[in-house]
Amino acid sequence: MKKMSKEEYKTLYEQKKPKAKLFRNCSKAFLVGGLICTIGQGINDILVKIAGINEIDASAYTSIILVFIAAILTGLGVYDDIGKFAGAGSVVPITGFANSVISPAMEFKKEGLVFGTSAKIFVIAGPVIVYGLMTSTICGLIYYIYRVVIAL
Amino acid sequence: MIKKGKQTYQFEKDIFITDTYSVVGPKENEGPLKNYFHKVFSDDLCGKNSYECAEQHMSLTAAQEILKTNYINPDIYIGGDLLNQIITTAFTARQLNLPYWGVYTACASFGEAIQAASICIESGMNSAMISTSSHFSSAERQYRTPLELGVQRPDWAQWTVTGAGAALLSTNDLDSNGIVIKSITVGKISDYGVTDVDNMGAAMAPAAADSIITHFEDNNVDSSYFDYIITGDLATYGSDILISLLNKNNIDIKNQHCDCGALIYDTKAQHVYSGGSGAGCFATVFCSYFYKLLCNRKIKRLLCVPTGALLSTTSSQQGESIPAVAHAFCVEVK
Repeated sequence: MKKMSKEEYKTLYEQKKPKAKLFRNCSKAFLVGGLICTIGQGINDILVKIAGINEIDASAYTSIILVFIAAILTGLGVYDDIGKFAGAGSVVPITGFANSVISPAMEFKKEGLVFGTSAKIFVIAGPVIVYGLMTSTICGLIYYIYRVVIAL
Repeated sequence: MIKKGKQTYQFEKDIFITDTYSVVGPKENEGPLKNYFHKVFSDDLCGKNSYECAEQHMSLTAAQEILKTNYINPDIYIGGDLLNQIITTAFTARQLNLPYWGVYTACASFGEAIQAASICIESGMNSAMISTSSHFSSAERQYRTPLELGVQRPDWAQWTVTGAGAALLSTNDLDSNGIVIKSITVGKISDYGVTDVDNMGAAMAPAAADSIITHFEDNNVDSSYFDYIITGDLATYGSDILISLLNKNNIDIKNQHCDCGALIYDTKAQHVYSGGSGAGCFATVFCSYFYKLLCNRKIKRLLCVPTGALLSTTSSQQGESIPAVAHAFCVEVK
């Protein structure tokens, strides 16, 4: 084969790549993501206005309910289909986080409860937890220092 | 065995492919080749506890059917698959009680196995059985993400074929099909710096191009000599790149070329992205569709170029690019 540089080849295969359908994908993500958030808001409103729970507790309950629904949908094999359709629309909300924990837990059940399920359960969500905790700690520290400085 | 040119070997004996057997899962049976497969499992777990066991069951079924229908005890069994330490093939061999070699060049394993088996027969063995297999769900959990994780993959990604293909090579033409392996071209590794693990078509196309050009040069033939030039699993996107790469080398195979990854699924209707891939892709398509065409004398000369992307999850996470290889063999009807 005639000599070809890596750069030359890259231009060739990038040219051939099927074009990403940005508008279509963004619209789907927007609609499904928006729908999940609207359902969450609905649950929140019901908890506050009908069940009479205070707002801080209600938002925690809302998260729990959404995570529960997503876990059930993952177990039934529905959430991955939603994900294939909606992309980031169903990955970004808290339901996506639930899906990323439940799916490896199910997948690695065959390797046993210790070396499979429990060892692999955070294989996808792990980085989110690690960096989530790290950044929230840093933000907390900054906020604390800011308050001390203000008080002076 | 005569060495021709740089990497090609022509056989002096007649090495017959006397029988093949293909086993696939339900999704492959919804594709355009559904009437050609020998056996279809309607459940991709095959009634087993895990996808790994299901893949072994498919691989074993293909091998046992070959042995059963041919009343033969091959001198060697050579095979490969995609799972770590090629467990599917080793566990198949555990049940067969035959001398065993395991080969691995990912999706090009079928080509490597055919080449090794042909050399064995040329060197004095009487018969050899080969098989390769892959399973969408076992490959997915090893290479990618859990099955139930809701993520999108790009349009140029590929779908691993669930299935196994086995072939019997022999010095005696048991079924008088007259299908012989004429020559083989052992592939070299091509690596053009592709690091995207979803982009196997781009990673493998240069390897296929290199093996095809080398085979043409070594044998002093051109594309018009063949009825078909079949690549393993470049799928629609990779095939497109292959045609352009060969055009740049003044070779036109557009009329002869087809790709097993693009053939096995209806790429528009079956949500398989760019097409099929996996060690079972070339194996099932060759052992069913193309073998039948050869048996019926619809085609007479075939250049087979299974392609393999030799990455692992470790190498790709460490930022390594994807090396690829294509092992070519020429099949003719006598």
